[in-house]
Amino acid sequence: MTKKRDRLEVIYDILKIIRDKNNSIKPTPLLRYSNLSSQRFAEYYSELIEKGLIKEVTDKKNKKFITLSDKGFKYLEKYQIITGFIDDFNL
Amino acid sequence: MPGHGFAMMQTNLWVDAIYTLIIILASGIIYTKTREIYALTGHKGIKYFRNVFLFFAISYLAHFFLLSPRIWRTVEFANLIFPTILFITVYASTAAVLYLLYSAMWKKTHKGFFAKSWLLHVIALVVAILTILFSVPLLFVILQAIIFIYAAIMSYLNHRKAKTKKGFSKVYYIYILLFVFWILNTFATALPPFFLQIKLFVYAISIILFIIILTRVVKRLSVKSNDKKKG
Repeated sequence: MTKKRDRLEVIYDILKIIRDKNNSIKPTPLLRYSNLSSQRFAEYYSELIEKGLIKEVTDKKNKKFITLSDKGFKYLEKYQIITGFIDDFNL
Repeated sequence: MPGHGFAMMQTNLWVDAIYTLIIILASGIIYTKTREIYALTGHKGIKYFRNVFLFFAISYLAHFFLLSPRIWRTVEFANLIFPTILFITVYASTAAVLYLLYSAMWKKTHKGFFAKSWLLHVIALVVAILTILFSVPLLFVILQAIIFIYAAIMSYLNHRKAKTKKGFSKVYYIYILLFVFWILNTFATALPPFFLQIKLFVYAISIILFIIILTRVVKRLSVKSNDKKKG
């Protein structure tokens, strides 16, 4: 049985998918790759937008893409440090 | 020998001032060092952890002014200033102690008391008001001890009930010592000047505890990340 991902790990996975797709992905494939239910994905998506970790951009054909913000890149960069800190202090 | 007594008081004041400054500096560094990881994650545990040191810094500063009579007795409105500083000391220290418990327990107990962090401020407010109303400055120490002991027992029982293979974390022992030395510090600062050695001992251990936590924070946050997921 696989371990349930915690909130920080899910966020990391979503951000990593975006980065690995050349920092540009449509919402539907992102939902598919994230392995989340539509409802949970919608919750995380709103949270990431609200926290400024991802941005929505629209191209000339009026298609919506998702990209990482600077804060999103920073999150990926610091993820290991953050989880290490949380584990170390049992937070 | 009035000259000797005055010199003792001066020494005590300097010791208190340097001690307070070190604790505030250590707490301030912990608070600012963890700002970025909190801004990135909004993680509740990190928020509670940071608030422990924010409120400890406030309470240690207020406590210094509270027990430095020559500072507030010279002020005309000492009757108003003393209870205000006492209120801040009690409120901030109770909040710090409760944040300490929240940071250690919020993950294990999602429901009830630990699901509502605003309750913590209500409790701190009640403890502060009771201390002022009954004019017994040490009442807050007793109330804080009751809260802390109750929560520590609950935490231990939860830990046993969970039957986890993990031992009780070393951090919990540091937290317990941090609280014990906050209580001892409250008494030590109130000791007459000739008990300077006892005071120095309590202060030294308190500083060591804060430095241990500070070092651990700095060490953890200075690790070079290679952005590879664990496991």
